[in-house]
Amino acid sequence: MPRPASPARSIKPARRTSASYERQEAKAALLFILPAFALLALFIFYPMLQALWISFRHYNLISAESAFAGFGNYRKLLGDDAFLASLRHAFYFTVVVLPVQTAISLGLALLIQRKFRGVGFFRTVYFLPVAVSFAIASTIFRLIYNKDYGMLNIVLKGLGLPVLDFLSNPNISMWGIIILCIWRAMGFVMIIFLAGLNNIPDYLYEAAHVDGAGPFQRFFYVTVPLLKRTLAFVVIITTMDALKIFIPIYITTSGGPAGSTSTVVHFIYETAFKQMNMGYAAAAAFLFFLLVLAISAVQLRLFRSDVEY
Amino acid sequence: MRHMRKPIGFTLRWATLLLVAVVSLFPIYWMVMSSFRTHDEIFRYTELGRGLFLPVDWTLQNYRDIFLDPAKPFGRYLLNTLSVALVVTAAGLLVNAMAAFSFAKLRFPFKKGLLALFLSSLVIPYEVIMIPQYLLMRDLGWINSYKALIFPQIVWVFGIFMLIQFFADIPRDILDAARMDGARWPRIFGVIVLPAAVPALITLGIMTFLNQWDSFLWPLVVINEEQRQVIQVAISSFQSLRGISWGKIMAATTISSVPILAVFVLLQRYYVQGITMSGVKG
Amino acid sequence: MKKKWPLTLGILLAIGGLSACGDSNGNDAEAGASGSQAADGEVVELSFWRHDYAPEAEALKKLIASFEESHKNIKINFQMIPNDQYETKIRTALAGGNPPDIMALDAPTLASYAAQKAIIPLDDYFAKDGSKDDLLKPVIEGLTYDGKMYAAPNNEGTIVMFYNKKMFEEKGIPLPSKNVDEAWTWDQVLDAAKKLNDPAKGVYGWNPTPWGFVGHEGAPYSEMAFLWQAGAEILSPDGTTAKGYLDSAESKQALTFWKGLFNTDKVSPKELPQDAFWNGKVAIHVDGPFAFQYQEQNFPNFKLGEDYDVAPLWKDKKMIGTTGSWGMAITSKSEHPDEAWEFVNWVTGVEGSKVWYQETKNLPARQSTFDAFDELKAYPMNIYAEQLAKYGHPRPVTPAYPAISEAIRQLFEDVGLGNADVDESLAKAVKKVEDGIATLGKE
Repeated sequence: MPRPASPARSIKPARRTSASYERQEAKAALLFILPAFALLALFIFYPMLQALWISFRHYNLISAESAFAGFGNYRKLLGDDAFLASLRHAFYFTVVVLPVQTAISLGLALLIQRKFRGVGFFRTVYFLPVAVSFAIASTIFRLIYNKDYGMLNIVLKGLGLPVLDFLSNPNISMWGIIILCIWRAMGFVMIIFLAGLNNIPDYLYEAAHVDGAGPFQRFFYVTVPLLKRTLAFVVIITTMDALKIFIPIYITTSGGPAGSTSTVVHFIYETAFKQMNMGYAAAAAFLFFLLVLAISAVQLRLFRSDVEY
Repeated sequence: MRHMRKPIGFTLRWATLLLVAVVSLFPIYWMVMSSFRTHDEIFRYTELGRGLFLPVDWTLQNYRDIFLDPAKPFGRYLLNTLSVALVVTAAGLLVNAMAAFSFAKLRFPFKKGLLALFLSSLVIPYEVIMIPQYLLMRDLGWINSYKALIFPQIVWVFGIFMLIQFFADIPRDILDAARMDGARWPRIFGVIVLPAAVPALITLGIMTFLNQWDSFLWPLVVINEEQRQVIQVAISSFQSLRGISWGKIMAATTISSVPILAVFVLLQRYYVQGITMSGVKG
Repeated sequence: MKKKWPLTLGILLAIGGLSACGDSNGNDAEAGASGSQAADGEVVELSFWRHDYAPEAEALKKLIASFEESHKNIKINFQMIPNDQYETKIRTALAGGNPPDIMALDAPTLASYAAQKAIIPLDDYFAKDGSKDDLLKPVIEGLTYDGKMYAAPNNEGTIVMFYNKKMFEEKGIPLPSKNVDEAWTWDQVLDAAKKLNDPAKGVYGWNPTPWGFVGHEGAPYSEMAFLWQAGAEILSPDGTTAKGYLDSAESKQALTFWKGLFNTDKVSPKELPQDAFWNGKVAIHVDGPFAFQYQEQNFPNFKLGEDYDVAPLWKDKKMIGTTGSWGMAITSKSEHPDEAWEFVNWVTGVEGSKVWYQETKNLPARQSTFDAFDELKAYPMNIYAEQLAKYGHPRPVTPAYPAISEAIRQLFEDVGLGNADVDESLAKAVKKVEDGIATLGKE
């Protein structure tokens, strides 16, 4: 008789302990999150809800009154060529920047990961563009890009190469923005990769080497799998950021030439602050929000086992 | 790496290193050199030659102009920005690290949903919540106050998301062991997690600081007093409709990049490392 | 909570509006006396925002100092806002219901503020002591919306042709007349530009817009003149539509000419470099009167009369020069509109205008200022003055102006930079303006 009772008795207190452990842990977890959540709720989510409310109204930025618009703003957006073009431009930008920037940053991180003479110099130099504000970097590039008098084209001409008229040729203007953005961001992403790379224990490389793996095999069988989580993080964040690209466009091209670099956020900013059509801008923002949310959800799912969430 | 011993690999590697360095430096070099030029010289040279790469008439006038203009106290703007950025960075590191630890290591209900909600704040274009945020500041009476520059900036979901990736490397066993020894979670966080995450925190700290140093639109709208304004707004005021003081802009930007670079160089030792728990890594 | 705040805003605005009206009526009698409220010993603080431009800021600081000297009961808090973001800042503040008492505005944006009752009409004040008769006709026209005047002008503005004299002489091109009735036609300018154009030296013949294809008002300001000169209009006379006006045959002709400048004749720079004219990279240029001061400060060796000269703007079927500049308006949220007017009138009134001219060399908005300075009757300022008086044309005053400005800017950019089809671009522009009228035109 005592036999079956004994395991039950011995399990029971353990269960209780683990249950209370769990409860305590959940409580602690929520308390840890609370400050961030409170700030987020007040300063981001509450304004977001208001913006959502605005998106259903005919809302002039500076007017006191607004009228209910239902889905009017949303319906109109779906037929608005300028909005759809701005979406296309944002996606084009992202589809290029995401792989190129990620590859360059990872390449740089690999190049300067190992210690060698001068590594500190290169690390600092690659990070240098990050230290220049984005707005100023954009201004500098605008001057450097000038077709006739910009430093870039003077040098190209001097070397007998064709001129790149990024600021006035709608066919290549987006590439001007892309180069600028990659130039500015690669050092930043490189650091994230460096941190990830330095987390890979040396003995794994050594073991691979002992097993006769060449550099490429080591990269694909050791580095890539162990870097997946960092990679996932970089991909998700870069996608979100790239789709929202705005400041360099506002400063270098104002969406031109001939509208070729107008992205969604540029469209939203123009609509809200220049045209003062806040309701329409808010609706555009939420359509965009849903779209990006869907993309991020897919990415998170693809990286499910890798990214920590 | 061993394969770099081969001469071709070696050359290729150094060629790449140098090429990227030149590309990184070129625009900044141009900026710094322009800051030592007179206004009419900045755009004068349009052919390859010495004048294109080096100032012909070296001058410190631009620097003198920005620091000695009593109407626009540049030193004051630097200090303003520095204090705001430091407060946001310090507060942000604590708040974001706490949240990240919770998401990364603790078990609680609705974790995924909550994190997804957090992440959604990264997706909405800021430009559209700026107006409601401004109305909130008005209702709180924070217009023209540094509170408006600090509190809404503390929580940064990008930072939380990044720290989660770092914290994931801390083995759960260590935490459980400490828990068995009777340590409470705040203690575990303070004594085990934070010290191990110093490099990660420094990396995030640099990024937060940088982000604040760069902030422009928000201070522009909420601060109504020139004496309280921040650096980026001050720099943009050198551009007017009828003329742009390029020399001053270049000088101001050169100066304003120095603190970031100083922080970066001083802390280089740390930020490249991941979680350091040598020996206990699972 | 969600629905409460706009309502609160509405109530606040209504109260603000009512009290503003009340004040302006009730205090009429004593508003003239500057010390009317000083008896209470209470100092009224007024905030005033304007976009940042050093010479103008200096002038304002002087005027503020003299104003505070003679109005001990009023203190002015003057804020300069970076130019690029001035409108974002002011509109955010208006949206939040806490704008400054006095705001600077560019003439054509006035209607969109007035239509939303963000600023108050100044007619009563002008009638009392604003010396309205002294203001130039196109100035009044440009600041009047719905029969009421909503801003007081700091100055007027227009643009004329600048040309590099030495380059003209080198090529043996006869210099253009300085008589505003004998302006060069587009074809004359184009002929000269073709001769002056020198791609090998990086010299462009003709830059037809002061700042090139920029994202701000500077571009449409000069581009509109081309439409009007060709005989086109932007809106119907009642301002309700652009159809049949902006897409008229005359518009098409103007845009075809424009397209040629950049794409077939290639005499105009698609990317205007900084200071191109002053560096001898552009032979024919267009600019405002502030250009002289800019040149003196930044290019002291490039001299008027030796290196360059000015002539009236070009013409086509008609001679027209766009006009309009910045003025000061009083917001409906101001609790002290009377004191605000005291200040506005101090800066923009008969005496203030003279100080303003002396400091900024902007084209005056008042006849009395023109009369007070002989230099305004002499070259080069006389060209601005005469062109303004005879051929000035303000930009359209309509709440839809932000849409018009953007539509015109994009139209000329599409055709000039993008080499786009004129008809298609015009159809796009008309649609944008119509959209703007539908959303912004509502009161």
